[in-house]
Amino acid sequence: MTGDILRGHTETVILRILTERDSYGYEISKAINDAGDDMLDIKDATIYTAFRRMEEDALIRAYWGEGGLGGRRRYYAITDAGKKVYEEKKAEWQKINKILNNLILGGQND
Amino acid sequence: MINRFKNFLEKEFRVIAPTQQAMDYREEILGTLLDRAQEYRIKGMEDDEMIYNLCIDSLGNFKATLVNFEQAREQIKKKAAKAGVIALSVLGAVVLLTIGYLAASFITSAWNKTWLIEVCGLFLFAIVGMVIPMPTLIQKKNNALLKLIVSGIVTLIFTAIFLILLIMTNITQTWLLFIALPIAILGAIVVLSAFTGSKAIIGEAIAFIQTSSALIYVILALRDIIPWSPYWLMPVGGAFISICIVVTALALHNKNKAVQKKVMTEEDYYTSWRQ
Repeated sequence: MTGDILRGHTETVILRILTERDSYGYEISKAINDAGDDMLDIKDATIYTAFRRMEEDALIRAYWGEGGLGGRRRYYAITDAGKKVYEEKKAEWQKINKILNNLILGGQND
Repeated sequence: MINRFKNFLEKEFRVIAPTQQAMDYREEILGTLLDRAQEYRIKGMEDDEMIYNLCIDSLGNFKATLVNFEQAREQIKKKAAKAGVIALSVLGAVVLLTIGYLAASFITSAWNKTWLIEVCGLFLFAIVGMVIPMPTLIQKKNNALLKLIVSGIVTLIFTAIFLILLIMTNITQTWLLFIALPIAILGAIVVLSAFTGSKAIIGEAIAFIQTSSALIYVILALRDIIPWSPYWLMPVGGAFISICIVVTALALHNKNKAVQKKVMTEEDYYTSWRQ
């Protein structure tokens, strides 16, 4: 279930990672799975599908950079539109989080 | 290991067209696989077969991604084909129009008038071009853009009529058409708002009545059809009608609110209990 919830927010998570700095597929995939406390197994296909979709929507842009064992890496950078969408998604999540905390934790939510 | 990954990817990517985008994607995946294999080795894993299988497994439903990739490419292809057909149609229509214009000009030798065929034809193309996206805009309720398009269409029609009257007839003061233009634009906007159910219709109707009464008065007076006085009462009448519309709209609004309140009171009656 945890994985399903996260998969629904893959794009927001990727956008968050890219707000810190430009990154590439493997690094982003590793960052997500490492942060998942071994409860997550987000496959590369999911991440690359998200990349394609976000590139189409101009939320991120890709460019080839130096590095990697193959000689060059495809890096991703967040665009201004992406930053805007990330802020909207973040606010949405904070709202949902607050409501769910109230509903599920009730009085324990202090 | 790198060759095994390359062989795997070459085989997998044969199901989609070898576009630059696809090859970039393939190279990107190869980089990820190599990075992941390196990571496993750093962690102390030595069995190449196991590393290879784990790396391939980490790709997940890779085939579905490729299918999506191909579908996206097909869509782009279809869009490009559609754009090509539209471009060819426009080009064909312009060529036909020019041929018609030249033929009419050579046959009649009225070069000073036949250029209207070309200009009005281009206006017609522009109008068709503006009408095409209207259904989508109505669906998306993009009323601001719709009003802009309608204003553009009316302006083009008026300009075409003005040119035809100016060149083909002896009617004087044809420029008066442009004084009537705001009336037509506002009228079209009111009709559009009625069609789309826009809430701005009352304000637009008032603007239409006010503008029409004032401009019709000016046009008729300039054409000496009516004297300037006492027909200045026309715009005043327009203002009076506008006030009546506002008062009626407010009265209807209050009546609706009262009806809603009554329904709520009755609902309270049916749902309240003494104990």
